[in-house]
Amino acid sequence: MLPASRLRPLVVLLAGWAVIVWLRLGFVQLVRHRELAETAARQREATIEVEEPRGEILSADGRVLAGSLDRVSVYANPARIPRERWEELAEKLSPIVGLEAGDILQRFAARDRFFFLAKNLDPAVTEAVGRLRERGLGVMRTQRRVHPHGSLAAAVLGFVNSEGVGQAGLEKAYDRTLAGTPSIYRLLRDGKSIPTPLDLRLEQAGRPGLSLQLTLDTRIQAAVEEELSTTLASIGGRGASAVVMDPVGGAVLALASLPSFHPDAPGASPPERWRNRAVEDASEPGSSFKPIIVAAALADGRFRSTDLIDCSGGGVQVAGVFMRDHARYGMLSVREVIAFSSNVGSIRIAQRLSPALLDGTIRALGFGAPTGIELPGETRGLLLPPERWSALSRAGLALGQELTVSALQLARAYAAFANGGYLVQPRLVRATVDESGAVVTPARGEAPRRVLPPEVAQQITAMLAAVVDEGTGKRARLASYPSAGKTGTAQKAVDGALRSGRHVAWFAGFFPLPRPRAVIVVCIDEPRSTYWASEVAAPTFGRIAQRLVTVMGLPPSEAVPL
Amino acid sequence: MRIAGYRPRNTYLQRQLDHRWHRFLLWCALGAAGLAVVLGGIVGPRQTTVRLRYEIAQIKSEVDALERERRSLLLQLESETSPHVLAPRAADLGLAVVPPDRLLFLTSSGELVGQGLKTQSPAASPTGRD
Repeated sequence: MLPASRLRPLVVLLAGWAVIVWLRLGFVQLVRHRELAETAARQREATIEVEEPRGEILSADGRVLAGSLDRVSVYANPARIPRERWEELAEKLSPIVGLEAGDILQRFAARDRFFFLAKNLDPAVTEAVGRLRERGLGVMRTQRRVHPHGSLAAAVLGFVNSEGVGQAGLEKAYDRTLAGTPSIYRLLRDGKSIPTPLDLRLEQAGRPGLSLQLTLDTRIQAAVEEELSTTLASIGGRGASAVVMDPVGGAVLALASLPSFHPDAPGASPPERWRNRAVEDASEPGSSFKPIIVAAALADGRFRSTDLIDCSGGGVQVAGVFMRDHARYGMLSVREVIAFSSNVGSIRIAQRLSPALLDGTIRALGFGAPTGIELPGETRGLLLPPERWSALSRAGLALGQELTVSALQLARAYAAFANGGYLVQPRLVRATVDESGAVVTPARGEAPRRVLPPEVAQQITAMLAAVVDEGTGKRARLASYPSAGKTGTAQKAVDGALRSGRHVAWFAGFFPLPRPRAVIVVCIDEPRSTYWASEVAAPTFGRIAQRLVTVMGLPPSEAVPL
Repeated sequence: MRIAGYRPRNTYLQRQLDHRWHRFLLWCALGAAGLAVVLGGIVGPRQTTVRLRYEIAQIKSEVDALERERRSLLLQLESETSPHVLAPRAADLGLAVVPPDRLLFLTSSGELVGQGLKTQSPAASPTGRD
């Protein structure tokens, strides 16, 4: 037994040590608690961001126009891999990433920091890479946008870049809706700092992207693209576009733009093919604009469709410029002015209208402003205000010059003739839907508004029907399916001047009468072998209408009971 | 005092065995057994949890893989049945787009109507060009 006098220093020593330990413990637990806890969590835990799948783009007939596939990218950070393991790892990685071992070694040697070894791989490689248990290697989940219908409606759909961000078309316009938000998971790392699936905790729930339900019908779209291709193949041309629209609701059933591109590999085509010609391009409408001038005259009450116009002389002098007609027509009724597309008749009508009235009607029919369709880069066309008009402007407008329009704007205006005088908002997106197919946001858009009296719309429709029956649009005719429409051949302006030999051929119309189900606008850019719309655009309209009969199941207007 | 070369030799001395030693060993064994039970009670369920978590993680990844495959097959089906793909195949099989004059429609009154096999209107020479 030690005497108490000898034990005392030992007790004091131990007590002092205990006090120091407790003080340190208190300092660590109370003062540095948060900092150390965070450090420990950083060492022990990892946070990963998992992209939720991008929404799909669906057609009206339930087809998937754009979808996403899960893919992975394998990354490497050679600085974190011991050099003596490089060769062994390269050998093992070779069959996983599909690269030669030598190539992998070269890449390791060339870079000393993080880089992607291979992209767009099957997610099954994740397990194989994980088995290598090397913290300088890892996989990152990505998505690949795929378009199962190839180039169908490519200009409408657009495309995404390698980061999955929309760059054109609906992919761009609805990027935030389609993308959704990523989920954040917290998980544990093992002794080698490699994340393990143990203790996987959802830190922040993401939201899968919403899908877009379109008004576009793949069967109609395919038929329209095929017929435009046939026209371009037989006649030649710089490009073509077409719009098929429901005249009552404004739903766009097809929106074609050729030449096209494959949205899976947009880089393989020149950027000029990416644009949507029907929405982004504007050209002079030529004679297809004459019905708008006549509509203004009829709505104002200055003319009736039976009034006679002097179209003799084969031309008319306006502000010192002689404007020719296609023929010496003599006296033509307003109806015949449209049917035979008389330039003189149209000019004489326009000159009797005030600039304010003309401008008001043109703007009321949607020209000079974007239609508001859900696509980026829509043109508003060119339409000068009346105060900037010259002495030639009214005559120019009567011939569809001095303004430019898009195919979609023209379709919208013709829809007003077809539906009894209402301006409708063209729309491509019927609704946004979630994964279960439930509607999240219904279609937006303005309600139709009356812009023409119903009797004016009826009279214009009758005139346009005469164009197809006996006028310049005969080649658009379809037996038992009365149609109405108007041709338009316009010279193209290049660098501010009209160029001979460069034309745009239009045909705008609707069918079947008396209750039109589709407005169709065809625009052929710089047709080669012949440039007249009556020989280029009108037959294309007829063939598209014929295809619509089958796809839409339209009974003939002049049905014969069997 | 130590004398060199001298060592006591009292051979009669036997090592005394402390009988409490048995009891001490017994307590140690019992303590170890108790500790093992306690540890088993704690580690066992923990191990089961870990195993189950692994299994859940594995099943989740299988579900993910199957979902990926479903999406991939769906997109493949879309691709195979795309109008662009079907049209040439149909043409190869001798199928053609039905012209409107070959179509019959059933009206709401139960009547069958059609165009009476009218021929397509010919592409007449236009009276005017525009």
